[in-house]
Amino acid sequence: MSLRLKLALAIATIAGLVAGVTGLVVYDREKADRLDRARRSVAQTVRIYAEVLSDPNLARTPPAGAIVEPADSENPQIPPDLRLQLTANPEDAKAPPDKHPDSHVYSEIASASGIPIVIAGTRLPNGDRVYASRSFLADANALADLRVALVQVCIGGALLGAMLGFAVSLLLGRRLRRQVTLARRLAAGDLDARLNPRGGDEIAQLGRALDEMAEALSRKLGELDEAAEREKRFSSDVAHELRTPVTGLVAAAALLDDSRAAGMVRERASALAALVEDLLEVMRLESGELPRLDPFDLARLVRDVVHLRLPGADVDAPQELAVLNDSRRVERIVANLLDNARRHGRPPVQVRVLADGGDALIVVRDHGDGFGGFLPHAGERFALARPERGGGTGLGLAICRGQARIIGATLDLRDDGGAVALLRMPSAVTARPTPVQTALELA
Amino acid sequence: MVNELRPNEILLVEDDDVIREATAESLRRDGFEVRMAGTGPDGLAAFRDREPSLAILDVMLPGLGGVELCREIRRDSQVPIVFLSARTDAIDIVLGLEAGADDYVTKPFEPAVLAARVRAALRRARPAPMPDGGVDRVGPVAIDRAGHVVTKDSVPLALTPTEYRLLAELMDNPGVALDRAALLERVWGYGWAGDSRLVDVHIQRLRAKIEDDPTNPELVLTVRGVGYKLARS
Repeated sequence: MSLRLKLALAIATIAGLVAGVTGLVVYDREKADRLDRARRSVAQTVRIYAEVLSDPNLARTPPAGAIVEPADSENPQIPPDLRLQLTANPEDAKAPPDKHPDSHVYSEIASASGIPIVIAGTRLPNGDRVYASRSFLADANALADLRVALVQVCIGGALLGAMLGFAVSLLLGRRLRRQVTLARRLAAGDLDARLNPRGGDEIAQLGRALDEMAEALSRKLGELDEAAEREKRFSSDVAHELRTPVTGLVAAAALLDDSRAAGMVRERASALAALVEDLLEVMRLESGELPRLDPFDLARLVRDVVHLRLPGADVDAPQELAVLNDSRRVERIVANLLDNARRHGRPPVQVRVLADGGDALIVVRDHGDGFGGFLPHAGERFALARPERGGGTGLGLAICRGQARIIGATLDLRDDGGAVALLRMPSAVTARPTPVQTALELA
Repeated sequence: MVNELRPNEILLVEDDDVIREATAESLRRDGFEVRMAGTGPDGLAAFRDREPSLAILDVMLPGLGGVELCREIRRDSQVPIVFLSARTDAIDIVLGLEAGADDYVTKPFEPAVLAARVRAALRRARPAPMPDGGVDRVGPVAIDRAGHVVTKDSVPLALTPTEYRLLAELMDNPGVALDRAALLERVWGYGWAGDSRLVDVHIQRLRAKIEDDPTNPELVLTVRGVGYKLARS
């Protein structure tokens, strides 16, 4: 149930309850008032009757309207309770009526054939009982009208309350929804979003608290960004600063003789240069570069790179596969995948190039131990599968992934009797005399 | 300018002592003669003192930057220029090529790679025979392969060896669209590690020299999605 509905219901219930209780009290008072007046008036009449009937100087003819009930008989019109009260209290009878004007007059509400009446009676000195009655119908009708009016007020109050509650909750809801929107915007990364609420109620306080949270969050994230930026700049600076001495080192090492020691220096200098280059490439990948798209023959590129990097690998590629992509980046990826197969896998290494729908696929498969437990980390920086073996920089797959991302390709790595890398890139333009293959056969 | 051309003399301008000395020594072992300079102004003075057959310039040079130096040299010389740049500094590469460089090598580099780029650049300066199907004229532009000279309306044009080879390659295959990879391979001698910006920048420079209106080329045409081709006259 929405907050709006809950609030409307709550306010409607309260309004209805208040109207109902007030109505009940009013009704009770009115009813008691009317009864009291009726009783007083009937009691007065009975007292006059009694006086007339007790006065020896007056005719003993009962006045019109008076009901006289002899001591030893019972008029069925008289409610038994009233009679009981009159007969059960003999003390009252002895006292002269004028001394206790009310104590010996009893009244009762009774119903005479469906019409409510108020009836009062008293005992005459001779033991007879005299009664007077009066219709209560007009009062009962008035009370019934009052009841209807009160029920209407009650319902009206509840409805009005519901409407009021709805209106209040609409306002409240709108304010709360603004906070929800703010929280969502913050979650979506818009850290400049603020509410700037007016007023001092709890919702405004909540809004202010949200604003403060956003402020703190944005400050914290800003600090983190700055730290990350500083770290990135530092790594980049380190790599840049390393380049000059490493270039000199490589150039100088190339001058050494062909001794074993000189070979070791040259080899390590080249490894260092490769590491610096890879590091700089990773930095550059993170700086948001755009690909340079040119049409080229992917089949030929792969054949050429295999020829340069791993001439022993089997290549299964169509005569020609024209694609529109960044050939240098594709070349980097293929070269790195081949280097990985050479360093970490075992022959035979198979390389396949094929068109699959609108995509071009390159699959590099070796028959070594595969990625194994390293698979989840493959592509992380410096995630070396077997630190004691190989000799790569630990950046090869990270560069592959980064380059793939830039050229809009995906790189899937898996184990299937060896390490399998599948590069899928969009926009194979045309394939010429192709051995018919599909990606399904590879899987 | 004393013009006493030595066929294998290289001017190497690089500010880092170790890189300069070691690279020069490597090139010497590969059979080149090497003169060295450590700053931009020294490099320019050395170049003007005697024009080498090729210049290697570092992009970051004290006094006069490599790009500026390249521009100065191109004012009155067409010798091949290879510059040394960082792979990460793409801007430097484009600026260097636009200033007139023929090729570049990124640091850190293996001296053998630099030597290969130098040899390829020098090779472009040598005459090559016209293959079957080639033409020696397009519009007002004529090529004399034996004399390594290009003329427009019989007026000799000052093309660098790279620009010359690019035009010669296009004239060897008139009307055929050549993609950037093919041009990189045939003109610069790259396999796949070449940068297609080399082609684009040199095509622009070639057009600036041979076209009447370089923004509306009529001789060297762009083939959308492929590369470039020579118009059939």
